[in-house]
Formats: sequence, structure tokens, C-alpha cells
Amino acid sequence: MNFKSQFRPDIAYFLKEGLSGIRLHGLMSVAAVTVIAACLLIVSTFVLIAYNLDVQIDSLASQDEIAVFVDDALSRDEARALELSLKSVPNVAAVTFIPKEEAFDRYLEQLGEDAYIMEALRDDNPLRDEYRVIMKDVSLHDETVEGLKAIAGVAATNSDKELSDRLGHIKRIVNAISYVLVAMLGAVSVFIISNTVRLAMFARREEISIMKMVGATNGFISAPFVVEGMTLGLLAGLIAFFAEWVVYGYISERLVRTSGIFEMLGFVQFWKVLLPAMLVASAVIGVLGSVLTIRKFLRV
Amino acid sequence: MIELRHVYMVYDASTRALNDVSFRVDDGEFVFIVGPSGSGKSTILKLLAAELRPTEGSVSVNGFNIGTIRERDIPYLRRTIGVVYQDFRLIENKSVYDNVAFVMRAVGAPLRIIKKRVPYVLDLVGLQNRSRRLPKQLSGGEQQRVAIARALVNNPDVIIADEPTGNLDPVRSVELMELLEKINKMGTTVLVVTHERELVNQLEKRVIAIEHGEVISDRTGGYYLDEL
Repeated sequence: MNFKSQFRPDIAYFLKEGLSGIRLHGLMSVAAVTVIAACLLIVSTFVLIAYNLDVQIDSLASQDEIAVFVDDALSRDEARALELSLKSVPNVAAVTFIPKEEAFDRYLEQLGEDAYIMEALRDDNPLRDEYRVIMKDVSLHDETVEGLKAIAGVAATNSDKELSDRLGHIKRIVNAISYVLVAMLGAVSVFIISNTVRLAMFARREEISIMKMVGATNGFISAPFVVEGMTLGLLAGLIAFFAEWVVYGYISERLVRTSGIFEMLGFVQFWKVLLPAMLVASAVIGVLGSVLTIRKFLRV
Repeated sequence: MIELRHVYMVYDASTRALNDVSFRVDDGEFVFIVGPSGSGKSTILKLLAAELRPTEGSVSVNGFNIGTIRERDIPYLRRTIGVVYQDFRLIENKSVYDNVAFVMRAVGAPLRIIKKRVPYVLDLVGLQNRSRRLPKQLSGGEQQRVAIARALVNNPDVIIADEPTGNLDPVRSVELMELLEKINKMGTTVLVVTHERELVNQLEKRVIAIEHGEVISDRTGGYYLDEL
């Protein structure tokens, strides 16, 4: 009787044995799931912040408006006279003058409830007259800014593109941190799974040695342990996803309130991508962790 | 069929476990391998199960060449061999039935075949009424019979018993040998490694004597050599 040709994976058996392993080492399993969920939560939070920065940067970079501030030394008439020079700069589509009084009003409006603090400065308005310049082609931003700055009487310019460049710098730092975290916490998670599975295999070493002796293939012996590692990983992924929901909501609410300009995407906008991504990542961690241990354990 | 040809096994420069060992066991034979501790018997068993590969020479087991067998084919070689150990090596938390059924499962046997085959084999070793017991609820002799049932259940070509009576009293030892003889008569090759002089002499089978890693005697219907 040789069953070589009749062999087919006994999924029900693998599941039963794998899940019984988790139950058998309940406390260890809970500890492993908790730590891995925490790792996944930290990593996903950083990845989401980096993603938000990306979206923000793109949206800022696509703004076609440049604020041009007029030198304080110029009279109102001289300031108004700049309009023609500004319009003559290549890539400028439209120019709107905003006197400093109007700019001050807008500023107060932005401050909302806190406006009364600045009200005292109305007579000694620290703002400048300014122009809002609209570009024809956003990609020519840098050349346009240079052209505008070259005009005598222009003190400074400001645009969302410049802000976007500064955010780009922050984003690179966040990205670098994310990569390091993915590598470090990923390795920690794999190590934890691998240790948990090692415990399960050690508890069943006699059974494993008998299975090898009677000719069970390594695949057959390993499958329950892969199931165990993958299940632990998936559980951690699921927990991390729901924890991220809460944490992300908290962070975005705080960040929007304190920064005033930084807007974050709503969780509902990406959870359909985030959930499968986290589950796939956690399943991979689970499988990788168990396979590493199994390979070491089964080497006879 | 098992065939060893000019087999040398060297663990390290100072340990030479086998020194030009050659013998052949044909299908359906009953053979004792005897020799003192450290003579090389265990090395031979490990070679047969492909736990080791010969340093030199060739070892052939049921059509598999142990020197060149691929790692992934080793399970299929082992399915042709049933091994019985001195310390039984049963899984303590599984019933007698499950201890035996489990090895059929491990080689992918369908459930309906397992359900037919396990009771048949338990009946063959005289344990049909013990199938729900745990190993610790059985006597040593009964536990060894479970081990034999487990070795038999996948219907191997060869049964290799390594000191199978080492933990049994003389009466149980004789019963166990009678069981192995019965299995042999049904067509399975049986290879028994043992120290038990009385048993070997009583059964009058072929005896291969090993000492210092060499075959010093190979006689059919032979006796345990007095000088061993």
C-alpha cells in the first residue's frame, strides 16, 4: 500500500492541528499577537502619515497662485503701478492687487475667535500690500518666481509650492523613519512568530520525529505550524487595523487642530486598501516566522 | 531488498564506525543483526533509514540508493520501512488507535482506508480490545505491540526492530518474537537488531554478527556467537 499517488493536502487536519497549537500555548499566543499588533500599528501609522504628506504636497504643488509682497518703501500708487511689470513676466496669467488693509481683514478672519489679539495692531498694520499672481503653467513655478523677484519693488514672494518643497523635506524624513521601522519592527514580528512556533514544535518534537520516521513529507509536518504562524499574524493584523482606526482618528484630529493648514484624509477614504494590505503583511510575517523555525527544526 | 556493498562509515578521523561491510537481505527473509555495543549496529540502522549516508560504498534499500537519494525522496524510502524501537516511542496523549492511525494520516492515506486498516493491524498484534487506551495504561509488552502495529500499518516491505525486547521480560520477549515471525510469514522482511542470545539461538534464523564495524560472521540458521 503506497499512498504516494493518493496524497492530497488534508486542509481540515492542518487547520485543526494549527489552531490547537495556538490554544495549547494560549498565553504565549496572546503575547505574540499583542506585540505584533503593536508593531504593525506603529508602522502603519508612519506609513499613513507619509501618505498624507504626499497627498498634501501634491495638492500644494498644484496650486497656481503666488503671493507677491510689495516693498514697504513704495507708495500706494507706486505699488499699483507694479501691476503692468508683473503682468509682463512670462507665464503670468492674471494679477490681483490686495491692499494691506484688506490683507489684514482677511488675516483677522482666518484667526476667527482669536482675532481680538491682533485687533490692536490695526492702526499699525504690519502687513504689506500684495499681489495674487496666477500662473498659466504650474510646472514653470520656479522660473516665474525668479521673474517676479527680479522686478524692482517686489520684496518677497510666497506660494504653496514653496511650502510644498519644505513639506517634501519633512516627508523624506518621515519616509526614512518608516523604512527603518518597517525593517526593524518587521524583523521583531518575524522573530516573535518564529519563537512561538518553535515552542509549539518543541512541545511536539516526539510526534514530529515519529512523523519523519514513518515517511511524512516535510510539507505535511510543517503545514500545521505554518497555519499556526499565519493565524497569529492575521489576528495581529486585524487587531492593528482596528487600533489604527482609533489612533488615526485621534492623530488627524489633533494635527488639523494644531497646525491649521495640514489636512488629513479621512480613514474611510483608504480603509479598503489598508485592511487587505495589513492582512497580507501580517500573513507574510506569520508564514515567514514559522517557515524560518520549521526549516531549522526539520533539518535532520 | 537491502544490500550493503563495501560500506565504510567514518564519523571523524578517529571514529570509524563501519569498515568494509557487505551483506544482502532478500525480500521475505528474517535476519538477526547481533553484536556488542559500539560494534556499528546502530550505524547500519541509520544508514538504512537514510539518517546517514555512507562515507564509501553503496547502500541500497528497497530500490533506493542511500548514497545518492535526494532529500525530498527520503520520506518515500521511509514509507517502505517500518521501524520498532526499544523504548517504543509512542505518543503519550494519543490513544492506541490514534497512535497507529496517525502514521497513516501522515503519509496521506484516505480516512476510509485508515478506518479499515487500523483495526485489522491492531487485531493482528492482538490489541483489538485496547484501541481506546492510552499507552501508559498498557504493559510494556502491549506498548511494544502498538509500536509494531504502527510500523506495520503502512504495509512496509521491511520491518526493522532495534532491540525490540530490551524493555520486556523473557515471556513477553518470546511472544514478541513470535509476532515478528508471524509478520515475516505474511511476506514482510524482518530485520532484528538484538543482544538477546537466548532468543536468537531459539529461533534459528540467519544471524549477521558485527564487531568493530566489520561483519565477522553471517550464517543462516546460525547461532549467537559465544565470543560476542
